[in-house]
Amino acid sequence: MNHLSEEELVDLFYSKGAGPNEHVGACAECRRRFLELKESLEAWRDYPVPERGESYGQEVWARLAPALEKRKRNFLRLWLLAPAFAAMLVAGFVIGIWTEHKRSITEDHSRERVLLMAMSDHLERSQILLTQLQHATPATFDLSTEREQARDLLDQNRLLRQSAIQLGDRSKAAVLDDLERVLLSVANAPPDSAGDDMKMLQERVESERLLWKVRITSSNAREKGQKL
Amino acid sequence: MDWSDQAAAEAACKGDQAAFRVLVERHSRSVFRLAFRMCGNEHDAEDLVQETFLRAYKQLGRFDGRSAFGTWLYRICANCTLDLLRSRKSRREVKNTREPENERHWLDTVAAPGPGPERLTQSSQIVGLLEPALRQLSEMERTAFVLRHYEGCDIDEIARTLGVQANAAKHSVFRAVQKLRRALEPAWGAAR
Repeated sequence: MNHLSEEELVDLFYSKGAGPNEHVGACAECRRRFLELKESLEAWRDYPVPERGESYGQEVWARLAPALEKRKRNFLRLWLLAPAFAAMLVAGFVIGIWTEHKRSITEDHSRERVLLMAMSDHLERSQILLTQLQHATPATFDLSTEREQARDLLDQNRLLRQSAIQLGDRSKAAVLDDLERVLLSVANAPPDSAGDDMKMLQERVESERLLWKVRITSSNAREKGQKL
Repeated sequence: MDWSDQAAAEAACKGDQAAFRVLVERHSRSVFRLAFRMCGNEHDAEDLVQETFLRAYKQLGRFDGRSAFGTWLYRICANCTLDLLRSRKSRREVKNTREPENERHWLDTVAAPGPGPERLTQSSQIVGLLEPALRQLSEMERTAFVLRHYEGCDIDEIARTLGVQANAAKHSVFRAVQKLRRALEPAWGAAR
């Protein structure tokens, strides 16, 4: 005969008779073990708990009520504060966008300002070169100094022209394009240029009113750059 | 007004504090009994009663009336006590790593020749040893045992409270009984 395990006996005790009690009735060994277990478990029933009087519930409520009130107030306060928090959140969001927009505008402006000032400087230097060419006597003029200047100006002119195109400033890009062709002619002019070549160059500057355009553009660029 | 638990819980859920007061006054003593048996300390039990009702108030919306309000409250109390016992245990573990001499404290009380089993001839003296023995159970074993032995909860209810399968709850009860018997057998044998 298989005897009941200790776990089954514990289960039997708590199930209050439901379960395999037929076996316990029939098996002396299991009955003895069950009665021992029952005796122990019933002895533990007398675990003393400090007595609490009839008014204990009221005492608990008296302690609890302030905490519940506080909780209720906090809850209400939360509801009152919620719109303020929401407004702050929205304001923060708007300020963030506005600041970002302003920062972006400021960055664009400073970039444009640097470009305009650099362009103005470049055009002033080009203007000096063009003036020297205009006032030179073609037959006796030595181009060597102007050629060096033109080569120096040429690289910067290309960069400024590309920047003007990128910025969509067509008028400045057009002036720089005209200027670039003249600078290119000067930079590539042979050391022993004939007086006729020089004269053709002067006529070109004159016919395109390049000196005037360069002066106006330089002046406009400086003025706009200073405003920014 | 003579509220039923269900009606009072519904009214309290809608913000009626008088209804919640009825529930507090009605169930405080039984919650205290459960808390005391689970934690074995009067002061902690008082705090647990407070915590149980606060938690119940917060969670009233979750009470669906499928079980009795008292059962629902017991579950909250058991969980509050479990939280307390677990936090105590983790603190004690930290402390014991520094003070290993504390480890055999309760065993000395039960098994050592100190008071002597020959003096423990009354079952009331067994009860005096019960608390130290209960303290040696895991939180889950103690909760399962208290709910089964003193509160008469069935295994499914204990399993729901502990958040475990019924078999695990049943086994926790068994392990608790087994450990308690081993711890108390010398004294119990003498008393018999």
